[in-house]
Amino acid sequence: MQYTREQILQLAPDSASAKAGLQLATHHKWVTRACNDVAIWGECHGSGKNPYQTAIDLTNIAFKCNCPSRKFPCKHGLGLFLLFSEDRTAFTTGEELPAYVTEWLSKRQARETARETTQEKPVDETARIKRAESREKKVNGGIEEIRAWLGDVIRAGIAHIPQQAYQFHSNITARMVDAQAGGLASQLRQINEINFFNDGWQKQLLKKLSGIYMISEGYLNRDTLPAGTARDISTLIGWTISKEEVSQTEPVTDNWIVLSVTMTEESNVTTERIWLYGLRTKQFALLLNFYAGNQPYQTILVPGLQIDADIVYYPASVPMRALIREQRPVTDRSMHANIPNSFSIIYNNISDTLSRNPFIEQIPFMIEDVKATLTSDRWFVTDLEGLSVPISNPEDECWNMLAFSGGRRFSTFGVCDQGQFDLHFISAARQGIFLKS
Amino acid sequence: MNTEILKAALLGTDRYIPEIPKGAPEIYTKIDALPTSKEDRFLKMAFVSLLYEEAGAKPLVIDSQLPECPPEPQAIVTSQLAALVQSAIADQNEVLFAFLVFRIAQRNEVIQAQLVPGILDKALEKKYDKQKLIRICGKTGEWLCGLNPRWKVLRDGTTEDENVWDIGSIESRKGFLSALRKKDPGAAIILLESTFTQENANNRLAFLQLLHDGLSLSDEPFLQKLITDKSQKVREVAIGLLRQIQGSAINRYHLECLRRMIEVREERHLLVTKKKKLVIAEDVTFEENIFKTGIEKVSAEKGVQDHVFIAGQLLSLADPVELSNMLNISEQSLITLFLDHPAAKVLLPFLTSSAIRFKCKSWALALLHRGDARDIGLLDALEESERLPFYLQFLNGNAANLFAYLLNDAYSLLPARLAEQLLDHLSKFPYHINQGTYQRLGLQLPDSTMPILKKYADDPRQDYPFRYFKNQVLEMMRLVELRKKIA
Repeated sequence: MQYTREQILQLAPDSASAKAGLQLATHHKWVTRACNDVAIWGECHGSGKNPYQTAIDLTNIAFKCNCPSRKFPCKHGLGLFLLFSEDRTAFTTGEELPAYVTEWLSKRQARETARETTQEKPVDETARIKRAESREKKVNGGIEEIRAWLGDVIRAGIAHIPQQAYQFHSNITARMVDAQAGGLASQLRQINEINFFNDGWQKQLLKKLSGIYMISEGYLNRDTLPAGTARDISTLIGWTISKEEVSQTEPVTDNWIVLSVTMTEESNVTTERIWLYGLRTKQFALLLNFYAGNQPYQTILVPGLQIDADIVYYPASVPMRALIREQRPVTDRSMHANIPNSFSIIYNNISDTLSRNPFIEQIPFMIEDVKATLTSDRWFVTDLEGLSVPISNPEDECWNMLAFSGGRRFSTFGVCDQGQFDLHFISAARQGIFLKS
Repeated sequence: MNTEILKAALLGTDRYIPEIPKGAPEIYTKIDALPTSKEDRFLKMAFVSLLYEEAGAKPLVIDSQLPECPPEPQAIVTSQLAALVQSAIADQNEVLFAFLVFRIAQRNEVIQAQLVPGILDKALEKKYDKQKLIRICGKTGEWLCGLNPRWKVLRDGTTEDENVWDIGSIESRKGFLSALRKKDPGAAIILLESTFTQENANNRLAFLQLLHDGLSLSDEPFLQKLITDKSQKVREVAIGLLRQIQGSAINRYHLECLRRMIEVREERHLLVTKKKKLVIAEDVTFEENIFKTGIEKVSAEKGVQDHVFIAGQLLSLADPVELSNMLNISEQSLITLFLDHPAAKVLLPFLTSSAIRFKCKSWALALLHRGDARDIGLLDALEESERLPFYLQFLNGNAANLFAYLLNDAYSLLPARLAEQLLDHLSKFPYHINQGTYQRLGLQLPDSTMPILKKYADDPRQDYPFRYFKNQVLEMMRLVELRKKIA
């Protein structure tokens, strides 16, 4: 079991659950505490008459508790897991699982098997073609509209846009939703992220507008594009690929290390971004999960965790977004990542990635032997050759980075987002910290 | 090219079309030659230009470098302890955080480097012991304080302090004066005197109230001048301070008045033995001036005789040793006589005040043995080992005061018997203290109380107050365990 106290706390759905979990990580709260190779289970005193029965699947981390909490994992699950990580001797080793644990584990197993064997329902091909034609017609209409709108905006100039930054694109965004071009609507909404009070908004806005225009251009010329690029364009317009379809593609089996887990929330939808790095294949993979409202999180991955998994990539010119098809506990931890130590290599990689997919927004990178530098209130990281890049992390993260590194060299993982370097994880002397946690 | 593109974007293609500079990549010419609208050509050029800029970006060359942090000579805390500190900060658990800081400082260890920024931010908050927090930050803390202007004040406190008195807020000025008074009482008076006349009445009063610490005869000349201050409150505080200074003119005058009022007489008892008796003279007349030196003529309480009330006020600031010498009687006998006096009940608060002020052990013991003492400060006059039998008499009056007294910053463990009695009291009156105090108590409970705590935790009672108490007990058990773990 490789979860540390901090990692377990990161699984908590909110700080109140983490706090309550910590309070339950004490022997006295648990009537029974037991474990074996596949699970941990225990019974916890609660406000009810009978103790709550809590279990944790260790093979593929999952929690089960019969308490009435709607949070996931609940405080009992967290408390039991924390107690296990801190004092394994307090748990009796039980080869025989209690009935409630056996039942739960077998249900999980059955669900997993059922998922694998599920046959696709027969599709009404005529109806599907009809639906596709209808959507294409709507999208075509939408593309015409957005091109005309972009032409109008550019003809009049963008100087006046900061005065109506949040309204000027609201109608066309709604039209893109109607035209079933959700990807374009999403691109337009990203204009809201531009800070029009900061110098440099002009370039950011123009980049976004010209990018949308080029996506539409790509769509109009999709028949002449390479398959990967055409796929990128379809995704950017709003065509999605089902998880089932992605799961059918060739998997990449590797020992993957979780480099970063970040959450962003917009319009009551939480986006979870998990960056993985394959130690053997030296590939990055991005797991994206979306949760509406209080929907419980599905992925129990925390930074620093190493998993042995089969990963399938969504088809793209630069495959990045992926799904975990199968996950197993790691057996070999001896592998190490081979990381570049020059920003020249990172920039070359960025150029190469952009040449393959000019619309890509986030390019992950790893570099070692860099130092943090603060000049004129701006933070940079500098490599061995003295080459530096400005970083976009908030100030408190930069001070944490400097404190951890002590002004000495460190390795880092980050994401280059439209030329801005955002560091997520740094490590030195076999220790690491997650700046985004 | 980008400048041209941006200019056109801002003005609009109706007003400006970007010029393709000589030597620009061929693609611009190709786009320009397209048989499409000028907006189409512009947007394509803009996309290409910005993409070229992004894809062709080069790293910068920066000469300056930050100095490296000096090596840490002190041991670094275990990762377990560091994780606890991190959780305490994240949960805003001030009680646990303060304890962990104390324990780290006690062990002469320093916190892990990545936690230092968070701790330094905490050190900027007023409620924490700045010095202790900086100490546990070790070399990393010192180094970061030298780099971050926000934390610089933590390292170079004095540089900043020099100006605090002239330009700081009232709170920071009070803090500065208070610290100076503790360090060098004379310097604090000189500083205060230098600006006193320019301060408004509220500031004068606030600063004057800080002089209780380190009060001595050398403060008398300054305080004497304030007897004629324009503000009545300032005058009252100054007189109050002068009364407290042993040997000051007012104090000597009060003692003389007291001597005139109090007499110890010997009376024959049962014709054989002699018995001493304390008499408070009713017929002593005072100059009207005495009532301008903080002595009230009449008590606000009904049934209190004026002469007893005046004697009591004079007593409260009289040193029991000096008074005993004056009356040629031992301190022990004197307090016995006071407590046997018919007006003893009226005199009790004044006697208590004197015993506390002068830490008079015999008086404190006599008052405590009565069993109705209300001021827990009396215990300060006793050795720590002598206090135990008297703690419980303060439990019923104001339990929070007793806990505040017992739960000290050294986190010393409570005697097992006392801990048991306190838990018993709390099991009956769980709301006498708040959750923070329960946590503090948990950190000072001896390990031997665990079975008692477990007994309470397993108690089947389900009434709401007891359930609340049980929750607190579980938290205390967790803290006892935690303390053991990081011992």
